[in-house]
Amino acid sequence: MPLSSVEFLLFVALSVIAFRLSPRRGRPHVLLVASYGFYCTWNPQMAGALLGITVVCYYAALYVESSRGRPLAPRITVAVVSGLILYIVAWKARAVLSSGGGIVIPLGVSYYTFRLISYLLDVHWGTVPAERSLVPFAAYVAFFPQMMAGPIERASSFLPQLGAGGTADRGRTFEGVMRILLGFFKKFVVADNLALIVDYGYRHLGSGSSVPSALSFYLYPVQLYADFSGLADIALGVGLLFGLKGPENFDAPFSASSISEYWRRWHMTLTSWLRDYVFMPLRMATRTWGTAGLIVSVVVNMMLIAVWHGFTLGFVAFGAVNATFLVVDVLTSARRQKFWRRHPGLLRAATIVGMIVTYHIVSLSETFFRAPSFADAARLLGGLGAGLHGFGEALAVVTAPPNHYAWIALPAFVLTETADAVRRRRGMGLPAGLPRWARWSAVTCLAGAFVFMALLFLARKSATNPFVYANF
Amino acid sequence: MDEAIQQRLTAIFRTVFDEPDLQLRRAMTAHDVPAWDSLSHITLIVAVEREFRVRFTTAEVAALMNVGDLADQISKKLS
Repeated sequence: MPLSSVEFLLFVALSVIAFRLSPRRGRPHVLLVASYGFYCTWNPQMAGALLGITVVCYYAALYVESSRGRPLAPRITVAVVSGLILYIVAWKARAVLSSGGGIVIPLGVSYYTFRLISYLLDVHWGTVPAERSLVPFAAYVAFFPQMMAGPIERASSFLPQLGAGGTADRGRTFEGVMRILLGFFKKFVVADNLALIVDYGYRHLGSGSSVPSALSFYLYPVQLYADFSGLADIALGVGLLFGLKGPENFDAPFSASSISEYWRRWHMTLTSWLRDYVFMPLRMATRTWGTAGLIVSVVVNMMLIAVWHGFTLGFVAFGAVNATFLVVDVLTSARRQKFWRRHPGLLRAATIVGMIVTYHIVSLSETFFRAPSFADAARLLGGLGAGLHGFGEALAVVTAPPNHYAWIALPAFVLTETADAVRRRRGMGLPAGLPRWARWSAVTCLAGAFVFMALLFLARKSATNPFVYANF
Repeated sequence: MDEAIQQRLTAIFRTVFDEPDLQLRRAMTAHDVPAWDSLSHITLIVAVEREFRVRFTTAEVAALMNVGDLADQISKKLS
């Protein structure tokens, strides 16, 4: 069931109605049935595996908690966590080895295994209690809005909300619908239109001009961000309709003035997950190694982020570029901060220069992320220095049909960034104290926009571009 | 918070985060100190381990929620 389909919208509407009409104690059951129903539309044969893994982790956590202090408890944690890691690795490796041979990775495998690993480690460390009831726990693991591309929510945030039956008031419903619309707008107006220009660039890398290379190099990060953050908006918006508030996954990443800051603003639930369960334990283990320990921890952490996307050379190069700049960043951070304290007048200019440099590092690394092969990445990067001849021709091509509407993506991106900035500052709910007519006008406009979007889905005969991060 | 532990902790925090005027509170978290991130957190833990001649496990560090928790852990290990 693709997200950009009327079926999905109807499925969400029916699930939300059933959830809200149920008594509080029955809501986890409704959510569980809805989530497995959704999962079966994608991967019916793997739903059993999801259930089996969930049950194993549920009982393992109960045992670990009740047997704390006994020698078997940590062994159980290690065995189950290792099993989960091997499970992801095996699927990702199979996908690479089959090289298009029809292996389909189970939907959300990276996301639900990460949720389970964090839960087990938290119970093992005693930072969260083990969940006593299987149904809410299974609903947490399989929560369908977050199954496709996260965010990776922690049990300590989700389970108490579900236990309270969700806070599904009018404010959250309005905010949820707004968030879903924002997500689809980012996907269809910004990401899909930019994809036309980026794809054009990749098709014309050998033209002898730097224009195709520059278009792909500079626009792909925006395309990827709009695509992925749009998917996160839809997931968070659907969650809000159930009255369940999920964690934010992005915080204006292109405003980062260093690569470390960028990674604190991009895919935040993955980076915070790795910080807590990989970086911190690794850093603790290497804390007596001095600078070498810091470098090892940063590099391992970044390379894990990279290969989490898949076991390809492109992702390894993506990780290596980021790891290199991250190491330089963390090793020079203290000196730079001291310098800026002594020269506060330069800080503003440095922040702007930092944003530009960071964007270039991100563009460089994502070239390896996007390019079909190493050779294409090399041609694109080599093409950046080819000169601006052919600029007019290239411009004519990318502004001619069928791509003539594509450039609307750039003002649309500014619009979505503004909407996100307002959302972060004030939220997306209806302002309090609005007169009745204004409140109803806003709700009517929103409902109209939603119906219009559904009609657009119906009218779209051809398949739409899949979400980039739905593949991981 | 034990006063002697608080004094020694304050000196460590001021050095690690390069904030000479920092005043510690039990409820203080990483959100309250701009330079307190995942990198400096381990520097802080190493400095605390050296100063108090104690050793933390990963689970103990993961369970620390604020400065008060850190002081309690130190106190527990010293007693």
